[in-house]
Amino acid sequence: MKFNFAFDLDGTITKKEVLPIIAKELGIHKEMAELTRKTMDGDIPFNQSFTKRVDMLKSVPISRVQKIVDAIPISSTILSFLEENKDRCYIVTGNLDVWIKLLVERIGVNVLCSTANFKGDKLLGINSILRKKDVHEISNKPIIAVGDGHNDLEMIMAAPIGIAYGGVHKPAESLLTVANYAIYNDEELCRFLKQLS
Amino acid sequence: MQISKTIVINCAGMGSRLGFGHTKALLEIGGKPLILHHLDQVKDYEDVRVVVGFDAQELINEVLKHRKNIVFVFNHDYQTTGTLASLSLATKYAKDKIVSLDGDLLIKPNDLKGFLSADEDQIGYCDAYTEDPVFVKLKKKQNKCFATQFTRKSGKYEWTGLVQINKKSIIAGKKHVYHTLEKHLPIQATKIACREIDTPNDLIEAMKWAREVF
Repeated sequence: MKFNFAFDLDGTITKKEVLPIIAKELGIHKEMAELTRKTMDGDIPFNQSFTKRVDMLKSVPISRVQKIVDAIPISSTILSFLEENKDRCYIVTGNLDVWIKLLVERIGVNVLCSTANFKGDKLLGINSILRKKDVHEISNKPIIAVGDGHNDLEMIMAAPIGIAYGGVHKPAESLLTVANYAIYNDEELCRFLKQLS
Repeated sequence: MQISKTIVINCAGMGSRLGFGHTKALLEIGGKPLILHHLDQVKDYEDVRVVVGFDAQELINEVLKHRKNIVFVFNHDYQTTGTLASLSLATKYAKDKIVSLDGDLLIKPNDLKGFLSADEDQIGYCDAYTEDPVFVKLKKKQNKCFATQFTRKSGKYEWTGLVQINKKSIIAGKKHVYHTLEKHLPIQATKIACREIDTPNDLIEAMKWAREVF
């Protein structure tokens, strides 16, 4: 088996973007969705946008966010692939460790993510923002990288096989300039990944 | 029994001779874009790959209206490379048997259906008609027809670009797909009715032909 796999979380494994769903708790879903979309398209740099969005959401208790995130619909096909290839898969996400904890523990694969400063159930701020291309240094095998947003660009460029994924929404235009493949359906993605294995 | 194969539809090129602002696979002939003619013919195949380059987003949008389970393969060097580069990219990690089909070729449906239903290695040929053909010399043996030579010089028949072969035969680095097929001659040859669209005149001819055939 020649490859390991790196999957983005929001809009790749999950069928909806995570932050706008959390934002519903504060009645700012629309504003958050717009900010998130612009960030995914690359119109706003990720670090700046993520810092702003975390700031907008940090009043929501961490435990409440964990439950919201754990309830977000995910692709059952991609989930099966992750479960069948646990030791070879990484979830690589700019999202916060404390927020995604329940979801990723349930999925049970290696995770690379941004980290939070927190005290008890209160989020204080961001400790570190993940640079997604780091997954290539950690993996003991070459990585097939799958993502949908502009912040997946470096990870996909650095991968021997980079896949722009459009199963939830159109992939960022920048990804289509560097990816080896584009796939717009989760079953087709997993069928293709099995063929690469 | 039909074996499983990877179907590759090559649509990365710019088609600059035609003067059409989109990839030629989006030309509407015989009632629909060329790419849809191909997709209809290969709808029963699981592993279909469309190679994109020039006008990629428009082509992807059109394909997705009709079929979501497609792998789009990027040839980012479409300005400086040809079909062989596209095909080499598309046949990586493919099934052992591959079919290469050019996006700018309109093929009579029954002829393509017949070609795809066979499992042997084969090329599709037709009576020579294009401006700059790859001629093919043929020999009949035991009721079957075989291609024995490709040449640019002269001939009665030309290769249409359609080929079914083991993926290991496709080796990047040569100039043209037929160069990489040469060491596998003789190869079975199947006559197919088709029109390639390279020039404005080709388009006029293809539209006339489509009115009779489709």
